[in-house]
Amino acid sequence: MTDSGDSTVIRGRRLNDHELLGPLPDVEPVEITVDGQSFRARSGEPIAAALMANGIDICRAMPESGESRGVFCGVGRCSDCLMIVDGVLNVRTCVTPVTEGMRVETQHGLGQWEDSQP
Amino acid sequence: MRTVDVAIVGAGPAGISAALATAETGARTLLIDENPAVGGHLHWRISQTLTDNAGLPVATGPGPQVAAELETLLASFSNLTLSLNTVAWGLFEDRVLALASEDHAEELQADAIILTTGSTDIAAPFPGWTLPGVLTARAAQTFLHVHRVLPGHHWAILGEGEDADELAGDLARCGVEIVVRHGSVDNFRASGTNRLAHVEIDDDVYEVDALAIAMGRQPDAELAFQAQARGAFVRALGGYTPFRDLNGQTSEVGVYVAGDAAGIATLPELVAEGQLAGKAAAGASDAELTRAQGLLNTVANRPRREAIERSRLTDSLNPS
Repeated sequence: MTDSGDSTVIRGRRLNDHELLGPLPDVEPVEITVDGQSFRARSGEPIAAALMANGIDICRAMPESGESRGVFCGVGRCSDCLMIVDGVLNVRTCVTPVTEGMRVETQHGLGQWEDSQP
Repeated sequence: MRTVDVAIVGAGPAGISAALATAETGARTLLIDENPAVGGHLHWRISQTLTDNAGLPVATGPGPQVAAELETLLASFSNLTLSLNTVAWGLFEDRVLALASEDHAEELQADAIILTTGSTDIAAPFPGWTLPGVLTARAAQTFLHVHRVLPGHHWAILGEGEDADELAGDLARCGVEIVVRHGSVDNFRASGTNRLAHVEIDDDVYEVDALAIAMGRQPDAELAFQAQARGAFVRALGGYTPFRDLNGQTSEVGVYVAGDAAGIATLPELVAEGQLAGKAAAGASDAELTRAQGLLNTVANRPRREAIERSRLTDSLNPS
């Protein structure tokens, strides 16, 4: 099973207007890459939110079954949303903010450290 | 090792109320939260304070607005320090608290510690529950209201009761479709190849792109148990909870638990419990404590109060 494959990309997910909270405030946009492709994110938002807003729901594949995992608890407890971020494995993307130029990769199984690991 | 008079873990409604109560006595207070702002669930359960401030010393409004006003109020105390983006990961003997933030780690000793660590969502498993697109109610509310991203446009809600109703109201507010609501995991499954595409209930199939598990919440008092506080599973309180005395003190002297962490509660209860624990931790007079206990009793709902009574810490457990 692959990480993109036949899963549907769901679009139009940024909640620009909110009945109780009003319009989404302007913030500095930042650019990140996900598996080599560039995406625009909102400065300060968690990686998982930026991914979801860009139609990406799959964060990693399980070590043995290869099954996909995405955001589950959304608050840094369950570890379903772990990804490789700037070469670091097992980053909780739901509670880690994006930064300019951040390199995010789908984590397959336990992942692999780069040669120049931190 | 740094020392403070009172350290409070969790800056939600209970923790804020506790911090305001201790700060008012002049006690050196440290309020710790892992998030970048105070307010806790006011940020994702945004409709609780729309018409009733629940005893919080600020005006009514959407949760995030109330939280911002509370942060301003906290900042007005020179004897109160706020430690945001900080995780309290350990509670050891003699009230030593272990803290970690991105660039800092320390141990800290407090004369009293108040744990207002809130709750986590209950998630009963069912076939397909690990598919991307399936998430807890809290995750759904956090993405909708804090991150402002829609996990999906066509929803299923699993679970019944207040949490499920609250989420349904939030989804309706955000203009997405609720395709189906179902009460229990019996004969319920989620399916899809790489991502949620359907839920199946008995022989009926529904097309959805998001499924929220809203089966209620459970108290999270892990730090208290790490410090050897005694407790029990109390169904009426939502799960495993510490035994406490009238003011919220556990079997570990000087360690208090208040709010959802001590048993799932309503917002007015969280606020009143936080105040009471704060006063007790700061050494308030018996008359003041009696007053704070009275206030809690006026807002406490009966089933929770009775359950707490049954799990009350007796004098023999905690002679102090």
